[in-house]
Amino acid sequence: MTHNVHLPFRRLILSLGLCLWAGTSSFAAAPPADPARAQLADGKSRFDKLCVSCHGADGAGKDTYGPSLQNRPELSPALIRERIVKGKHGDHAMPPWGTVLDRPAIDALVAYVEVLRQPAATQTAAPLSPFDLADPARIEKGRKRFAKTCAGYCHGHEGVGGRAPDFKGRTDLGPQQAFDTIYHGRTGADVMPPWGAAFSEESIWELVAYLQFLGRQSAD
Amino acid sequence: MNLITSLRLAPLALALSCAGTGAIAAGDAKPGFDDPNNWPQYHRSANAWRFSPLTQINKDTVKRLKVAWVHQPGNITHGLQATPIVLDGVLYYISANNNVWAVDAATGKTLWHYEPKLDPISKQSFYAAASRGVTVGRGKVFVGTLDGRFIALDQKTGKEVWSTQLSDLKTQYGALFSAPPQLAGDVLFGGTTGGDQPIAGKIYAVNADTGKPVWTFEVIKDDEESWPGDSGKRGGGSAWMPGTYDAQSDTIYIGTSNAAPDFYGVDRKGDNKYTATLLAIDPKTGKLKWHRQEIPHDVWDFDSAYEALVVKKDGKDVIVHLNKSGFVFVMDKADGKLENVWQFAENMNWAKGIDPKTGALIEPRRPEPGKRELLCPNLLGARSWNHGAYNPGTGLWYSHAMEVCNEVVSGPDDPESLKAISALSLGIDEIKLVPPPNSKDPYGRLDARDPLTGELKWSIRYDLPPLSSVLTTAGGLVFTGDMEGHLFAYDADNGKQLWQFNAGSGARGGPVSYAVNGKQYIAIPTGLGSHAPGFLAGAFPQIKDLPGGAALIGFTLD
Repeated sequence: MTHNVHLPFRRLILSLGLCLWAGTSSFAAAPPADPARAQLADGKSRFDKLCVSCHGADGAGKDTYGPSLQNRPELSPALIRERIVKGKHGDHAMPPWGTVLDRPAIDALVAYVEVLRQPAATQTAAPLSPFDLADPARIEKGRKRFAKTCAGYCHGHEGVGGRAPDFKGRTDLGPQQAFDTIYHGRTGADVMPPWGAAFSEESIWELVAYLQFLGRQSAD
Repeated sequence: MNLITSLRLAPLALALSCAGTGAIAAGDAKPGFDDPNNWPQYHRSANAWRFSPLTQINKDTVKRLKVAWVHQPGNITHGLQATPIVLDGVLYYISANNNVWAVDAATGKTLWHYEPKLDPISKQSFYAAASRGVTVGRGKVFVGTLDGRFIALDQKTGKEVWSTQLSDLKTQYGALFSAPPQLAGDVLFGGTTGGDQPIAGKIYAVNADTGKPVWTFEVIKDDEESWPGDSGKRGGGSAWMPGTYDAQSDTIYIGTSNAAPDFYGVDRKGDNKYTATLLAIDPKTGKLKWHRQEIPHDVWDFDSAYEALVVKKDGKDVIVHLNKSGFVFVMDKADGKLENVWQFAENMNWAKGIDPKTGALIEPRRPEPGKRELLCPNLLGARSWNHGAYNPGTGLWYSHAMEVCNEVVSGPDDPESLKAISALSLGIDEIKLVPPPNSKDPYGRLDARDPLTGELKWSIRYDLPPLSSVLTTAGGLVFTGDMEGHLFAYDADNGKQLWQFNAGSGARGGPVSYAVNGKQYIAIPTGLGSHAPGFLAGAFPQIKDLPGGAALIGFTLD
């Protein structure tokens, strides 16, 4: 990671912007029944409130004050826990959260970061996905929905074309980030409308499963 | 980009006659020449010419064209798609999220700025952020909003005078006004988005001074033969582009969109009136005077929403009307009687042709559900909505074109996908943008043609299809811009490039010309946006790397 230490304030503002965006993305849906999933949902919700201002949405930090947490195979659960509890001194200091959060909250954060840090393309389970994202039946359902709804006008056949980066062969799009973007939409030079009210959570995860599948194909 | 044809050189009838330094306008009382210093309405004149009679900037002087000012609205979402309006030295335009600006047309200084409080639901619409302009008249600036209202602002101050809610985004799949409502005397009228949505399109009219609704025109005809069962309730048919008002015949001309679901017509067997139709409407009552349906039972997304160009044919007024299908319909302005139909698109395979006498589709190839079909032109049309221009000096119509096709598998909409207000009712299982058959590269053009016959005078080829509207002037010039942000002035007679400027982001709006204190200006909106470039990236991967932007640039001679 390279960091320019002279502009942390600007970055903080930028990442606060991200924080506001990500902060609105915590799920309003009923709490998941599965305890592991509930813990991850809690971890994500806390991460979105406390951590995104430095690490970016979904820990995808790029030019943020803190480092990216994605694609970090060297981060062991023990190291993640230690860093959250004790923080870090020096350049790009991180506050210690051990005195602020209770044990279950820290457990949830560790569990969530543990999923985030895995390379996006190999993630077949996102923190909150209710099924295995590598399930061929789910991928096929997502493919059909994508071809009907997302390809025309916007993302192109098999996610190639469109103003968004091609989904085929794309390795930097984590499942949670994909879910959140579909759910809430996004606005930049182009606009993607929110689809959270259109599709069930399950349907959106099927789209995510298809996007992850496309990410594993060669870009040709 | 290269000049591919230069067939014959016609004499310049009038363009150079007043090109001296004194008079800056070719003064004439003919239609299209009134009010030469202003750009008073969307197409400048009711005949939709996009022609400026000003001549100070001409073939000889255009090489000295320099930036006079740049006005940046600050938000680049979906670029800058408006055609500015200019009246008495003040320029009015609209940028992302319905921000309206009054700008000193000589200096680019902001005189007032209006930002409406939009209903948050507008953020959920597929057609978010963009608007194609405002209308100025009766001391007011009229806006069609992203949350389904017509608003009138005080022309001097930008303060709201009235606001009338017309469409309901919740129940009408985000139907909103992306085009400026137009004036027909004291009636203000306009239609919404929704051609690709499961709605029944409407044209709304209000009293321009009070905002009180006066009539609503139902685009979907109440007719079992045209729309079996309740298929019309989801039949699309929105009039999403500005119409024009012809004071001479006291008639509104406005075109309607394709029928929905776009590519799946199984549940709407019938001609699906009044989709893909040019309407002639009485502005006082909202009653139909006549109509010409160009594409009966459309299943290709072939809107009839583009400008109704009015020119003379054998001494009488005819409407020249480009349909997305790649055909131009020429009809009598008085009753819509067909005078000619000519093919504008080079690649056209959805039918064998259209009978120029009757308008009948010859062997139309309607996509069979479940079967992959290669159809040309693609769903954006032989041209997007970026308007052409007509120059009475050359007698030529200048219009961009795109040669791109789509591979479509027709299929019913998935009801689950139709829950969001952003939902599209495309009636497809799959769609893919592809080059024309015989492995030709997709490309774009600027054509100079006889509007009545389609005879090609000259044509310029571009690697990426330009999405800017065209401006032509009595100075013998044609102005436009490409998707990469190059702005051009061409010789109206032969297409020779006379001037170029790199604006940095692509052109998607409408260039205009006007004069202030004896000085002629050209104002060109720049900033690439709208869904079209996104969709076209499927066939033109280089579009992905094109930057967005939003800058209105005023040019004048040094």
